[in-house]
Amino acid sequence: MLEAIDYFLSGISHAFTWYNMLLILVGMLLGTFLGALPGIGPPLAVALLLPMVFGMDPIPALMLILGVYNGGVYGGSITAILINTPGTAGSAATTIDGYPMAQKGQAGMALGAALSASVVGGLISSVIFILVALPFGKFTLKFGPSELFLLILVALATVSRLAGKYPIKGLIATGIGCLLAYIGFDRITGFTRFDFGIRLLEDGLDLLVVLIGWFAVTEVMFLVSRKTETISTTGLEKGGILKGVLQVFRYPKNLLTSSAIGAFVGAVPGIGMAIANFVAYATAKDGSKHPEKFGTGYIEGVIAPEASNNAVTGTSLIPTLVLGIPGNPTTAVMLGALMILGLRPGVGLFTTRPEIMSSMMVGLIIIQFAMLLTGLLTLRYYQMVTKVNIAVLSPIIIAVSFVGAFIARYNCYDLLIAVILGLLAYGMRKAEYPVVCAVLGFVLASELEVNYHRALMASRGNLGTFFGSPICTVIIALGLLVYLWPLMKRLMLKLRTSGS
Amino acid sequence: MLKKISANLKDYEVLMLVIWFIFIFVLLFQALNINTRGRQFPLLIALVTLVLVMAQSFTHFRIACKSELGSPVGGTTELEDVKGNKEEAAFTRKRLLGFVGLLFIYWILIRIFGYYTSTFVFLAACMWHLGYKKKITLLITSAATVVMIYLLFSWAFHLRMPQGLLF
Repeated sequence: MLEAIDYFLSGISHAFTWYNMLLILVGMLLGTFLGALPGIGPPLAVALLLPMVFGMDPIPALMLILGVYNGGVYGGSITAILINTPGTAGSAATTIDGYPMAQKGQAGMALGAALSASVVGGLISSVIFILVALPFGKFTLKFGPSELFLLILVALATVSRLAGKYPIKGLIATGIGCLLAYIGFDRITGFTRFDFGIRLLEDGLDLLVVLIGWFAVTEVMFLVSRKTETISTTGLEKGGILKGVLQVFRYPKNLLTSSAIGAFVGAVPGIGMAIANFVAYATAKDGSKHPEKFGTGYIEGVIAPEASNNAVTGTSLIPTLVLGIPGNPTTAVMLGALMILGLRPGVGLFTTRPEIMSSMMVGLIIIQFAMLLTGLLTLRYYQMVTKVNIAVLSPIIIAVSFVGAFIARYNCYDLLIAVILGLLAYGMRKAEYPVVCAVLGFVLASELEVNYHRALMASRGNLGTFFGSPICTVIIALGLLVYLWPLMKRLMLKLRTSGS
Repeated sequence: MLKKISANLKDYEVLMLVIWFIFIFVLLFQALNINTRGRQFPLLIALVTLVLVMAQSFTHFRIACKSELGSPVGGTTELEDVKGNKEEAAFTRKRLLGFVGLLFIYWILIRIFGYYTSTFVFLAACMWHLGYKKKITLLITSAATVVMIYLLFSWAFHLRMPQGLLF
């Protein structure tokens, strides 16, 4: 532990320069803006920077990249709150409570809460990164396909908490999301499935296109069918941003639990922030004093996903830097950036280039404060979106979303798919099927299948592989607890009331 | 009979159930042509979802039969819209159908004229359709949006935009 702190302190002199501070601020502003554009997201935002960092010194270049990465993750929540369109899958759960808050004129408060929760989540994650990067990096190597399969199965338990009033509809939506994810190439056999002879479907449906269809197109359809002129039906609440920033600290349990979930998920390679925000949301709902308020525009429903998705950023660097295994698409691009900068990720990086690692650690902490600063300065302008005339806003959202859908694979037919999926989601929302459950199904289905088959292949078909290791046992116990928790909670409440 | 079916399909609840049934049956049929390993998960999930859709259909129609009006419970339905305010429902339907039509036209225009020209036309037409009638502001907003998108994506980030047959 002391060694880690020593390491951190040595990085201060390398990271704390005016040039680096400026680059962090630029990266943060750029990342937040690009993350807020539907379809761009952190991986593309970081990828767009690669030509710029080529030839730069490694430390300033990494500061810029880290700024864009963190800003990009946070930026995704801005559109999730303002126009019900998450910039990334990591902000999908933020729409559940963030958008209803914006509709109630509390966009500023929701944005402030998201900012504050993101900063706290990011800080916790950075501290974990500093303290346990090396030992935890080695521990995550023990997560094989069977452990990942079980972890994803546990994450699926969140469906029942996201479904709200109609659990069967939630399960149907999850099933439909899963089935849509199976369209295209089977990653295990290499054959195509459910492509109906259409060449376009051979590659399957891109997550970005699905998100744009299910959120952006659908939301715009709902907006145009409304008689009101703006998203916010009431005036904007004054001083909402600061209020939101401070309100977060009234829910320390939610904040810490969600950050811990995000930090853990981030450290395990192959599990993305899409899972973290849903699991954190469900956990927060379970542990809240007012679970009935979730989904109606409740601030706790914004805090949980936002703290968790930003908590992923710091710890996702652990497998990337320590093992050279990127945990998510953004860190995969970052891995490429490191190589462009002439750095070889791995345990050796700690000894061969200690100044790089230590300045990254310091940089991560500075970035969180830069996020707070840029957020406080810019959010008041972002929230104005809810006061723009819907007749003007709706076509602009579609035009920008179409760019996002197109650049996902540079295919014009993806735009058509986004529109068709948008129509489907419109019907789903009208019939009160929770679209977020479908997103969860879509994100998890193929990972679940791939890890199941990989585990069986590695164990030569032995199903005992899912119960063999101590990690599996812990995950199964955790899963049982998660699945049975609502039942246990009801039972405990019954016992308490009958006792009194 | 046909009238009854058409009225039922206007109900989103019934419409979605029909879509799910068709979608799942098509996938189940397709799954038969996939090798054993490749179809395990899709088949399992399709069957589970089918059972759930059947359960939901049963619940829905049981409640619908019980209620005097026969209108379904749960879900915002087109029937409720009409009942609430006929004029508003007609307004909503017209606006929405027009917008969806414009989306498809936009896609076709992109295929012919490329992204920028089509986007300008779409923005102007859509704003007009949605009730924004200030012609000059409408044209300036459309042009400014296109220029902003060009500067950000094409000029700053060198991203390739959808190209049409003509441009």
